[in-house]
Amino acid sequence: MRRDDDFTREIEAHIALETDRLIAEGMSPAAAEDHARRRFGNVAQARERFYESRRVMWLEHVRQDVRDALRTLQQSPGFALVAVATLALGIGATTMVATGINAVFYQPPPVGAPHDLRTLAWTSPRRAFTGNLFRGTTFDTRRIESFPVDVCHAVQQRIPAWASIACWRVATEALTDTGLIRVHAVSGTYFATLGVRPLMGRAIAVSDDDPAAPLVAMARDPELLDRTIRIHSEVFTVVGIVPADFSGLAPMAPADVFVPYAADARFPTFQRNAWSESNIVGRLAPGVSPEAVRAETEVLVHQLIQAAPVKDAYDLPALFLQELSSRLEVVQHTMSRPLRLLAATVAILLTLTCANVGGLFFARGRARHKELATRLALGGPRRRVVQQLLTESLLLSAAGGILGIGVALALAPLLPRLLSDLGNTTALGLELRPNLQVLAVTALVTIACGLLSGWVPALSATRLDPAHALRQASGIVPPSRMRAGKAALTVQLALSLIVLVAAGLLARTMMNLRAVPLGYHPEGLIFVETSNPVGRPRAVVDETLAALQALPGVASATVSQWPIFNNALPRFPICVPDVLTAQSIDYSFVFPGFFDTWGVRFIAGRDIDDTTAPQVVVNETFVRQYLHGRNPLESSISFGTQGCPGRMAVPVVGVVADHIDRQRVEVIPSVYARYPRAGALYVTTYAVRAAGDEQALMPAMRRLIADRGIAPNRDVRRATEYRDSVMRQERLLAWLLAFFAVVALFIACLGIYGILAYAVNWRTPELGVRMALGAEPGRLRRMVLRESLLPVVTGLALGSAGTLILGKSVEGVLFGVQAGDPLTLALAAALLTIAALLASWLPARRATRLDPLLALK
Amino acid sequence: MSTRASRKSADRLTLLQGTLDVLILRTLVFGAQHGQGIARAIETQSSDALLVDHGSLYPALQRLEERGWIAAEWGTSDNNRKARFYTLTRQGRKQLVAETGKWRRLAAAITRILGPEEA
Repeated sequence: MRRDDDFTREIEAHIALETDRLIAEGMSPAAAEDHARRRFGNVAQARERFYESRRVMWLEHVRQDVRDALRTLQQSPGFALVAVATLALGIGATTMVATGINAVFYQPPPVGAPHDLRTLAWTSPRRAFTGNLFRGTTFDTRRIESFPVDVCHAVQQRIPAWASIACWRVATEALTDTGLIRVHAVSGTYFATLGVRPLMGRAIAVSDDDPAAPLVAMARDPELLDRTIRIHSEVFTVVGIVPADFSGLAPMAPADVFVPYAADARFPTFQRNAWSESNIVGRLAPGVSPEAVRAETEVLVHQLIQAAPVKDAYDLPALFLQELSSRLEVVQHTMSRPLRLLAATVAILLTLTCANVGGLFFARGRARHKELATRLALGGPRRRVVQQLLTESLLLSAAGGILGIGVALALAPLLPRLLSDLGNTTALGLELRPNLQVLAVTALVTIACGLLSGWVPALSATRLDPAHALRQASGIVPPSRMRAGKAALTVQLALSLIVLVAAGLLARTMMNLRAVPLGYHPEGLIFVETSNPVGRPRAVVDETLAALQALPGVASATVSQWPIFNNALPRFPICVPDVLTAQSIDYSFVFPGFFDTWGVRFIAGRDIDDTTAPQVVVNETFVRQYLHGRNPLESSISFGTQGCPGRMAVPVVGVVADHIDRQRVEVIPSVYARYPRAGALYVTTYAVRAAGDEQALMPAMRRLIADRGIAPNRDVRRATEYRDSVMRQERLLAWLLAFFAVVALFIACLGIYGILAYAVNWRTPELGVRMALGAEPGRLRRMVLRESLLPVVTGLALGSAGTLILGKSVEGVLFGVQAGDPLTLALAAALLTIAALLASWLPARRATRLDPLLALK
Repeated sequence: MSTRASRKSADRLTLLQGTLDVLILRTLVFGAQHGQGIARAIETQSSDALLVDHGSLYPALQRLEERGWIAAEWGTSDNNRKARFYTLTRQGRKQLVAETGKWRRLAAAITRILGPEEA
């Protein structure tokens, strides 16, 4: 870079040379130098232009532009407010979704140096299975992550390539008065291996592995420090608090409480089933090759199996080391659909936001044309003027971005509920706060939005002929500029239509879902699914039922194997009466009175009675599918595991109305038999119908279950809550889309109004001439309205095409309505057209209220 | 006196924007020259029809230097004064050819539109 004193010297040299020349031409030396200097002009100005060519100037310009932009925005606070609010919404929603995507797909678990950590998994050809683990998702679980606890210990002791090894497992769930807590049992090496430090108190240590050690626990809730908590019949002292974002290594079953591994055997839920005893996580020693460690560990596992064959091990398993992040696969699988949908919504919204703000810039353009023209006429370089306009849009989007982060923080609590595809409200063990990466995305989006929304309007605003723009009386709108404005308007309308149609489709889906009869009465019903250890005395079931019936406020209580709805579990082959049915039959064991309590209507026959006589009740669909017009009450079924006719012909004594747990499932043929009179089934569901407010009964029911040492599979739930939970995603999406649709509609109207007002203003003199020459006001009005029609029609056409593409992504969410539903599309288009016409009306009316004299001036 | 006396400065043409650059390049074809020499050369070669604004000459030189079309070095003038001498680079030579062609075409086009000189 050339220094400025060098430049000054050059100028001095020039003046000296010029003076020499003039003297040679016969001037006196004094006059010659004077002339040379005058001829050069303003030396200071030349130097200034030299500075300008340098980069320092650039910063100076930026500062000046920011100052100017702030002043300009201050002069039109309404414009700034609308623009910033729009941007805050758009950027905020984007940030929120980016937070979700980041948490689910990119965020490592909150542990120290996660890349050195590995979880162990195995497969064996004969153990390979595909399970239907989660409702609605078939998840391939060929890799199994649990081992006998002896394997964990052996790996820990014998392979030095592991710096450390920890055993852990999802131990149990227990009811407290306020809800369900999930407990992970962890070895004393667990927290040290993971590098997780307690927030308060101490971590579970190796000394706690001694079965004789006092029972301690760590919790996530800081309130619990130094208190005791009861898990089933054991009392634990909380000695430490884990960081709030650490919930163990099972994202779909996050822990509320950690207890020492030794305590697990004390829980009634504990089962000595060798291959599900322990998960293993280890930290690799520095510098070792993961593959070598894997091979070494595999050899050890094979030796252990051959030395003392473990029950259930079919073949020698192949061992895998998995990085911790891949443990999120299950979460990712479950969440990808709602996340994709949200991301698509947000992408549309963001484009809409930019188009809207761009439209606002256009709309405001008129007011500034004189100013811009003046600047250009005075010789302001076009680049500088564009730069200044861009500074304005960037400033606005920066403000929108900062507010957007606030919006995202406010919306963050909604995210788990939006993402939750499961029927429960358990917090996912994921950190859902925007972090640096997310904020970087936000910043990028902010800048891109600022550039996008400012660039085209800035270019077109400066592409004007200064003389033309300054002359107010020349009233013809340069067509190019109007074209750009109308293009923005078209995009706005197209996107608004897409959002509006999506909102409409979801609203109709909601209505359709609500209209589907469930076949039972969820109102006033609470229930809890529990697990009984094998060999548990039957007395527990009877006593619990009696205690529930005795609770004040209980109208009736009942016991069954499954809740009324059961559509995700194994089905038996049944002979009806001598033909083997397809296997898709629900089968459940129930107490007498079960149907009354759940509110299921009898179509024919009677309820199961309390006698030893074999008897079953079936549902309508069963009759329709299998009995083919025979009288159901004269039919019987048998269990056909060995072919038909099977064992034990059981007569059908009653038919109940079809019922479903939620709206999107087909009714499955169901068979209900008497709950065994001796012994207790492993899965047992208790249900209570309240006489009054069922919510008030929930703490009492939780306490009652916990007091009897019964292990719950889930929290005590209200049937209505369960019913609503399956619609939660649709409802939230519908609300979000409806909200965005209203915003979009509002801003699209602003855009239409702005652009038309702008056009009318430009044409004021022309309209004045027309009126002076006797044009009818009505015709003028129609002419102005026609102006708005083209972008509206084009926008709607484009939007309709867009909804077809959108349809693909929302199809899975819709119910009882097609993605290309013509009624929804027509309604949305009509709404937009009306809004567009209303927005055009004001400028059109103003056009015809002109005083021709004033207009021509 | 020189021809300057014979022409009133009102008759002289100010350079159109963008023309100064190509004229500078052209002047340097004959060899290294300093700023004042370049200005002088343009004026003489146009028979004093063009007036070079000395104030804008140097920013123009600076611009051309930054683009790599000319190079500069301090040297000594004929009458023993220190001056910054500019020379044409290879890139500058190419640029000159391109610009010259452009100007010729433009001038021809304008001449055609304006028609034969009127009396």
